[in-house]
Amino acid sequence: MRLALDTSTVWSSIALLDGVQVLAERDLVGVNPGEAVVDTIDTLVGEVGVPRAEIAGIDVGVGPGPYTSTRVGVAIARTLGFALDIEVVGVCSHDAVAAEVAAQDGIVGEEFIVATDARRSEIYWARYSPAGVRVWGPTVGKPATVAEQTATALWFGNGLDRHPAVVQDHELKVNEPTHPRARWISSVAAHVRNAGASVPTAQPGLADHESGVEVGVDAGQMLFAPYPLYLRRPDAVPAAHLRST
Amino acid sequence: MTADDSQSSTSEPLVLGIETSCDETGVGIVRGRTLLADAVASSVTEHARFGGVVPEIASRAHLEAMTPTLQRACDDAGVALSDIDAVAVTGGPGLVGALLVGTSSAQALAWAIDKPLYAVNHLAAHVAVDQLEHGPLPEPSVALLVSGGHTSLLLVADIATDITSLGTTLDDAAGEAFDKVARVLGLPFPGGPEIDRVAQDGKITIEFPRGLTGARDMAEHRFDFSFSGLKTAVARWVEAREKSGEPVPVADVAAAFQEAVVDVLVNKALDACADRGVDHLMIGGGVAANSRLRALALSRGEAAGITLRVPRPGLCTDNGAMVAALGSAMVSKGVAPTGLAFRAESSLPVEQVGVRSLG
Repeated sequence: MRLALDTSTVWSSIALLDGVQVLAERDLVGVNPGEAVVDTIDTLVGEVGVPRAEIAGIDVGVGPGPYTSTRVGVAIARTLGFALDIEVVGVCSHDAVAAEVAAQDGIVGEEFIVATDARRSEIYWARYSPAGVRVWGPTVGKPATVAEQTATALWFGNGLDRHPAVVQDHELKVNEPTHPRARWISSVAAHVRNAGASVPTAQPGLADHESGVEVGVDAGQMLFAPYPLYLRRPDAVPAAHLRST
Repeated sequence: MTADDSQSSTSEPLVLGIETSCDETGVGIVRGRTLLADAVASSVTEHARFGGVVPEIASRAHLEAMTPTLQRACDDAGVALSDIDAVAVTGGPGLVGALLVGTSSAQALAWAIDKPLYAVNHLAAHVAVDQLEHGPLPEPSVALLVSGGHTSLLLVADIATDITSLGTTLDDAAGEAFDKVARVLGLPFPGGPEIDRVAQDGKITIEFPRGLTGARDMAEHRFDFSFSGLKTAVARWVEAREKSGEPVPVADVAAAFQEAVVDVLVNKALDACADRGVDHLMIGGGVAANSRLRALALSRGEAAGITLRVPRPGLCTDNGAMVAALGSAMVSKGVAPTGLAFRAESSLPVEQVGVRSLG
């Protein structure tokens, strides 16, 4: 049995799976994940009626998404992995949306974009082949710029919810799913693992964020260490010569 | 403590505490009131060049440090996670993004090992930690908590259930004033230890203002503090000196500033003891490591017949042992655990020793 979770959007999604079979799942909409995710895991494990020790691994969405909520899911996954002594696999949350899209027959005959809200009037986005393979990103940018620079009119995710003018100006088609769901996080992880990929253990450390080098993601990378894809360095201005007033 | 001591008290609860309210990732383990492990990973050097704690940097550092620090605490204590009887975590007050790394991890840990979880107040934990060093806290006691984020005067009737705020800062925390004045004097962050060090060679020749000590202020804010005016006074004094082309006597300014802060802290704390008829004063928080604060509180306390309790400096700064100590006190007093569903609260009032359960 595997536990899957994603807290990289305003939905928190949690699922227990046995292979591809979903044993139990819950989406928490508009709930602070720090208040409810572990409690919900407890409920789901209770519903399935298996001991904690039956959980053989955890698949967690590592975003990119708003830092604090994404970090909550990753912190939960990392600590569960530590305490239960099981493997924790990071998956790009946008890949879960793409996997769900690609599994829906007849919708996709063209490249598409998955975009989610990145705050500060920006979006986290990635571009996918018609088969749902990520060919660009994930990265972060202004929605109008992304729409101008890509010829892709088919979008998924909640990234344009706050940008109706961009949808109108560029005649974009925005469809469901709007959020990454845990069962698809697990599906992506299983698919990639079955193809023989291993989970990277190295994670971008604080040093990388401080070095001035943008922390980029290779479009070919499918499995990640359980650490958020922040994609932006912390906002902070060195204040050595400031004078207190 | 010897190995025999910890052996003899195996009936007491083994509690693991997690602290992430600011820039220290702390995991402590106690058995009853015996400290077994106090593992701390600090991101302070990451913040130094910004002149203060950058919340997002702190949060990222907590996430990186959490499981290694948990492992180190278990190794230091010589216990397995399965031995733990209860988990405690700081639920507030603090930086909300930082708190959430701790609370999420604590929820996950408590659930994984199927043990009760206590989400506790950071300020109360600063008081409870003294029990690890000096035994049961006489109740009631007055506690003065001074750090980079807090300046609070508390009446502690019961460390696990009953704490009242007598006063607090109206503007800057005491430690914040130390950081800002250090910056004015060209000293590195964090400013507290730097000013303490530099002031050793200084003479108190400058008279800086004592906030909220005038007659009118004492009527309204007898047990409250204000350090913003003092900080400005120091900055103006230094500026005037620089304009006149004279060198700034850094040691003297540091000593005079430190004296102004410590003088007010000690006087108000002892006044609170007298007002409440309490003869024990506990001082905690990072600024409690200040040598002048310790010396002045000890001498004036002795004169006033007040017994002073100050944990060693390593336990005064943020750590997980203090959280474990408060959790342990709650277990011992039969306080109901918080459970897995609760909200980390950045401005949790000190009266709330335990965070309310949402379950």
